[in-house]
Amino acid sequence: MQKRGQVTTFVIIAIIVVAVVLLGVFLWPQISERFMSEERASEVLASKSDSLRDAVEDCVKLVSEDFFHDMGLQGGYYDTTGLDNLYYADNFFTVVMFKNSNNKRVNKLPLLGQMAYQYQLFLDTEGNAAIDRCLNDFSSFEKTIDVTPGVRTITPIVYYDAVILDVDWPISVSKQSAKKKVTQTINQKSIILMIPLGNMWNVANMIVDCEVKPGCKYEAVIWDEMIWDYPFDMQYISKEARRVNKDQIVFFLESVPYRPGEESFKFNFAIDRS
Amino acid sequence: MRKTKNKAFVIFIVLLIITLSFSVLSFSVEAQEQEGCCLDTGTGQQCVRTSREECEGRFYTGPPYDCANIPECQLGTCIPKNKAEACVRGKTEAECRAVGGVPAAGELEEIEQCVPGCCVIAGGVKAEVLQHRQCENMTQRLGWDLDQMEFFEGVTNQKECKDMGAKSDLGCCVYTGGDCSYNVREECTEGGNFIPLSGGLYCRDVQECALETHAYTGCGVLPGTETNIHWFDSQGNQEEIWNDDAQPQGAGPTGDCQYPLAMCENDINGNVYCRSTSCKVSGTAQEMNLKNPPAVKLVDIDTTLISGTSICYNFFTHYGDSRMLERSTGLQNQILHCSLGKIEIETLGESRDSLCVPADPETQGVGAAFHANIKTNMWQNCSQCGESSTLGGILDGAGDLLGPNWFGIPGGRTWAKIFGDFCTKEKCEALGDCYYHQDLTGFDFGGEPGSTASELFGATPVGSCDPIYPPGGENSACAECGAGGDEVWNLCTRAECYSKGDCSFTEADPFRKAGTFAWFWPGLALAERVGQIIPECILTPLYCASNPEDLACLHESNNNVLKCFADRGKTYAVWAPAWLISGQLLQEGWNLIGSEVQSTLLQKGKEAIFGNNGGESGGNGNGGNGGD
Repeated sequence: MQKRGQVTTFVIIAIIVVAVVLLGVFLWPQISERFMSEERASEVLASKSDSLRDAVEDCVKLVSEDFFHDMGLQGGYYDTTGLDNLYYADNFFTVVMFKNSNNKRVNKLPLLGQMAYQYQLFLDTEGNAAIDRCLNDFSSFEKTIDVTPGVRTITPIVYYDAVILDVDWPISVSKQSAKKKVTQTINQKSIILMIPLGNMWNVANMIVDCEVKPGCKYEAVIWDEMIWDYPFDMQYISKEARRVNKDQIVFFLESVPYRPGEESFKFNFAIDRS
Repeated sequence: MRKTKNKAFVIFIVLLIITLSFSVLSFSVEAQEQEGCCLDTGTGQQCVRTSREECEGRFYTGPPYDCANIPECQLGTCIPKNKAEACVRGKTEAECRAVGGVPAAGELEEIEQCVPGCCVIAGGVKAEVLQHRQCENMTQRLGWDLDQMEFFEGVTNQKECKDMGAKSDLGCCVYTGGDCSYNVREECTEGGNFIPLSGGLYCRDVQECALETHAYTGCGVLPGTETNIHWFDSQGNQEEIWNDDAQPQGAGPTGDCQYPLAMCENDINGNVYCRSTSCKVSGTAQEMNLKNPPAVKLVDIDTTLISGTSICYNFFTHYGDSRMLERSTGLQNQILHCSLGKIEIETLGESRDSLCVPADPETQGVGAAFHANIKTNMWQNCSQCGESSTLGGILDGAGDLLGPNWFGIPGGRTWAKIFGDFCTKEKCEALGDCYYHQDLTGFDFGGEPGSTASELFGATPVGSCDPIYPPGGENSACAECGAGGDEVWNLCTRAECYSKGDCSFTEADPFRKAGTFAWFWPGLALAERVGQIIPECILTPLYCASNPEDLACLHESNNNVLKCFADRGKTYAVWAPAWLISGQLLQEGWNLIGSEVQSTLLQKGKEAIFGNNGGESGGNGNGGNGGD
């Protein structure tokens, strides 16, 4: 009888010990903060800041690359409201050159500034939400540090062989030390997307510019002449034209990757000479 | 009672008209609300046709809805706000202003700041084909004054421009701490000491430079050297053209790519190499051999194209079928362009409205031989050969019917001309890309073809005027097989069927033509007899006046012109309407029995003539008049 009582006591003590250990493990971050020095807190913030900056870069890059790839397939547009489309091979292609009722040729290839606006439109519509979803509200960071994001502005700058995203997004990170809460503000890196959008636009503009000019058709001999005249623009771009009928043509441009890690980028659009 | 009924009827009609007017009116109002010209959608589009709901800016309704007449949507050249961007033509004013640009009237080349040319900065730091304003912008962005900018208006060839920027005044700019930069003198600023170098000397030959030579290879970066592979030192300075160090000078491969034969290129793995700019093309294509009759010639292509040249890669008919006696589904003409080692395909469409034809150096100059040309397929008018608009074409069919007749006076040609027109090889070929498939030759009694005698007494040929290059897709004119300007006697043949487009051939309905034939000859005999009434009734009374004792002249109708016409008309001419009506009834009756019965009858007819095999059959079409 006495033995049984002893065993029960030991079991209870064992349970209590295990419970205390588990509690200690779970509450260790909070406990350790109470005894953490400011220097240590700063070190933790510094190490987490780099990871956070990388996470932001990865998410913005992922979401933005998807956007630019989709935009390329729609002739440089995210929103195609009011624009004509041409249906060909189970896809719709944005018509960027057509004749209006006065028989004048209209150029709807977006300017680089218009493409930047399309990016902002995308961010407002779904891009910002997608970035937040990707970052999961910083939940993985908030286990160890407090994260307070500021106002986010992302500006794309289109270059010949890349798109640079200027990310202005100050994020406050803080960590409780023994004496006070240590706070740092992280600024983001500029993000380079290896998308030769500028070059792609140049070639698309060459085609549309010719088509807008009266009497010029980007075909046959003119096509060959452009290869002669612009070898550096054409070097890493492959073109294809598919004629739907005598007046409607779909152009497919595709970049040839030439840098490690680069993926091909497509830019499709249609013209209507009727 | 009757009055009341009429009243009710009138009221009903009035109500009906009012209701219909309202529905038409409301429909048109609705349509106007749906469509209009929107100056700004709020989503980056200006001057687009859309609905009011999708428009945030001003909205204009009314036809033609496409903004062409709205002042803000007038077209011109847009000068973008960002000076790094090029001016573009054909932009609407609203679109240009929306991105902060300035719309300008006139052509792009007429606007000074938009003129394209070769921009050389600081004696060769940079050389690019740009517009004038872009050149200014780049010069300033790179930190140079505008007086360091040279702009060669009209030079738009990139290689030519790079070569213009290549300067000999190169050297090493030495900074403190062993940093060095190989470039033009103008680039050496901010405490750098410029040491001119030439004759194969580079920064590695300057003692103060702490660098390792031949650190890596890459495409040249200095203007004029971009097409070759160069060595670079450990500080990223360009050195001489790469060659294999392991081999004696000139013995191994070299980085001189000899543009335009090859040019320096990077690959995705970070390698750099001389890539051939030419393209090897091999395969089999088709060419149209414009012989008599036109036939497809198979051509084996095994050639190397140099960059910036092109060849035709055409398909008109089923592969391997030089007689063009196979269906041409999905086939089209194509141009293969060679673009710096890559083949670029320009397809000309399954509708085959456009054709690729080799250039003709004789008319287009020697250089044209290296480029494929596009030609419009002029097939549309072929079927009009032999058609006539005389009297709205009503009698053309009658003329065609009599055309092949060679035993009357005058002959069929004359009748065909009187009633309308008939098709010949010459007329057919004059209509465009057409070829005359002749089924039966026209007999020419008493004269050479084209002579007066032939024209008067000869018969018209029987055949069809068909496209040389079969159209395709929605252009296919299969129903025209066996039809055309000389429809009456034209029988749909396999060759004609496939030349009409992407058609499947089912043997033509011979009974229809046979029926026409059986019906035609009694009619012709009748027509001949009726035709003779006119000379008879004019000549016989004249004869009888001078030969009254002739027995034939005892008959009153031979002495009196009017009586002559009346008697003969009663005897023969009254049959003409009956003959015409019977023909129409035959046709209607044939159509009335329906295609199923027609098919059964045709099949039985074929079996009776050809046995159980049913003769030649082709395709899987529905027969009809031959093609589908």
